[in-house]
Amino acid sequence: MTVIALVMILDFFIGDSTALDWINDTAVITRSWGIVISAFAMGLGAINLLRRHSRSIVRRDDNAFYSFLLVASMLVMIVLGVASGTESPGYDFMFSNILSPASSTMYASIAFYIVTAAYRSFSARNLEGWLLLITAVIVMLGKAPIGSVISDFFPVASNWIESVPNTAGMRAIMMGAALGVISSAVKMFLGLDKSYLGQR
Amino acid sequence: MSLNFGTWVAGLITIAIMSLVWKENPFYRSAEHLYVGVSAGHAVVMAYNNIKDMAFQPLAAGQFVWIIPIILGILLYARYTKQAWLARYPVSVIVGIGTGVAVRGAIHGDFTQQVAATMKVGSANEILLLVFVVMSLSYFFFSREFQGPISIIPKAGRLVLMVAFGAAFGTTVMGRMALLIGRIQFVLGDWLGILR
Amino acid sequence: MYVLLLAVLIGPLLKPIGIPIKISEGTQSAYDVIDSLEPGSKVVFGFDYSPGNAAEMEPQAIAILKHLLSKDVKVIGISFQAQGPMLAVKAFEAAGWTEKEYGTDYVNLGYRAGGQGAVAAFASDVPGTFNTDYQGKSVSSFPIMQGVKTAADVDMIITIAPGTPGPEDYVRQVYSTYKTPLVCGVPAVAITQVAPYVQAQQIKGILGGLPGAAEYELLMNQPGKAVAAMDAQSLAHLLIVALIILRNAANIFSKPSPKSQTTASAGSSAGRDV
Repeated sequence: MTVIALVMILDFFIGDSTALDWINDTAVITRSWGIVISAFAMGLGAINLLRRHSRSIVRRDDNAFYSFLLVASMLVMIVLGVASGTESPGYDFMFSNILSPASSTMYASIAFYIVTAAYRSFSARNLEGWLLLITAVIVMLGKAPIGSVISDFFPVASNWIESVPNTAGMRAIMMGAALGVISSAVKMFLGLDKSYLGQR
Repeated sequence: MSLNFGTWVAGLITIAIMSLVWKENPFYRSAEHLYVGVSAGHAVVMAYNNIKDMAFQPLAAGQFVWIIPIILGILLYARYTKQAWLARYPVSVIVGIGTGVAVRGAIHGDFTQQVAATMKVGSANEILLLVFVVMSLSYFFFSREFQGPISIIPKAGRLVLMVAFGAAFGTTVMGRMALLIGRIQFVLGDWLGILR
Repeated sequence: MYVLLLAVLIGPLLKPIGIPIKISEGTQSAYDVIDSLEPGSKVVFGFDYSPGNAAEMEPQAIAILKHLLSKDVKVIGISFQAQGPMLAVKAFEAAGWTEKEYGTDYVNLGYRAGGQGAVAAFASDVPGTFNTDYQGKSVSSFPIMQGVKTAADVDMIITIAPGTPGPEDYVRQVYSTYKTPLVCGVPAVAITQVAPYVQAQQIKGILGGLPGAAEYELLMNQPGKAVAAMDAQSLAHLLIVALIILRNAANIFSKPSPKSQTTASAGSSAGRDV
């Protein structure tokens, strides 16, 4: 792991030195291998789902029908995709009329909970809370067309908030996270962190 | 109103999943399980195409070095056998690649270039930006406590962060509303034909 | 409450109000940068969104693709999101690219797994990473791919990317090394998170959420679904603001409780979709 990571890092710093071209070539080929291995890893999720829901079907428990729906739709999708390709009408039907609307609606439903939360929970009790809520209100009105109809203050203030204090806050978080990534990587290189191997 | 069978299936699935907002019911659970199954199946198909195009095709063309990632990928499935320890090798490769590219990206893209951009001061806003960044960074400085008059700096930094989170909250609301509007446009427009 | 929300959203869709839309700085910058492309330029277009956020992202993709079509540039479609290639097919069709010649004027190279590692692999070796298109044909047979070896060999990268990998990964793995101009379309939820990259000019222009798509449609003089949704978006925001004010008005006029609790429980996370 350490060797591969160091090759990736060194590759970034090599200019046009032909003597060190082998680092660049190794990095390029290793990254391509990473794509293939990641693709194999995508199958792990499907296998876990199959194992869990097949057990449910065999035991005929309360969720057996739903598990059957899941396993059947997964297998149909796989057979259609592998045998006929993703361009086939059947595959396109399942993608466009089951996966797409279901996925979109899952995310869209959150809007209802935001409305409930706005009335029940979005309550400020101290300075920070008020600052957060007032900023949110200004940004909400500034980003939507209605803001500029109510007053030119909202889009102007919203732009300023986005480009100055928000950028500052997010930049600080980003820089802190970058330092965190570097320190975590060093811990992994030194063998102090083996959590990725399933060890404590 | 659409007479397309696929649009009707999409519409009914939309209503079934939306029904969770009212209460959990068999229609929602059926739609949810269908979605998970189709989604997992699609991921497997995409993975299969990746492996076929990137590894098996060059291997069949004589580039035998591609047997290595194929073997490593298969070793991932050793976790379901008694030799589960074999799966650590491909995991190490993926983590090594991910860590390496993340570190170099973090150093340059998220740190040095951000510092350089912060230090470019010309306008009043850029000076304010520099001040706010220093304040916000000081809030995350835990090695030593800020005492005396300078203790106001991390406190001010906290307020800057609250403004940032407020902006994030505002845009989050905006995003979720847009997703719901998209669904309504589909139901009323593409499916029921009420919207022009 | 839910009925109120639905009424506020459905009303303006059935009977548009016509609230004027102002063009924001980010969208104008994105438009200007894309408009500066010369005919024949090669642009990599990242279809990195999923159906879950297509309501926001697809209008952005289609508006930009229409602009690129009008500029007579060549588009290389890629994706690091598993559902991306299928959405790319839809977007190319909706924007009118199917009238052009596939393989010469545009191409859909499909999906590659691996997240940020895959983005890094693409940046350093485009034909090696995307050695086939999404239908399995070798890229060496496509004229559009001639001369494209690394990210430095294209004139611009445009990514419609809400999650992982997202604009940050393109900045870290592509712009940091190859300095290829980047334009991004992001969901509203991510506008604040990519603001530092925009300020540092690592990202040259940005479309934020559905309003960004609506503004781009207006700049293109081709109003579409995004523009049609803006009235509903405005009223929804007004509703949320009104509810927040109502909730906090009670706090202002009520006695403070002995144990005052902490800040507003904002509920929504600032995290983005994957």
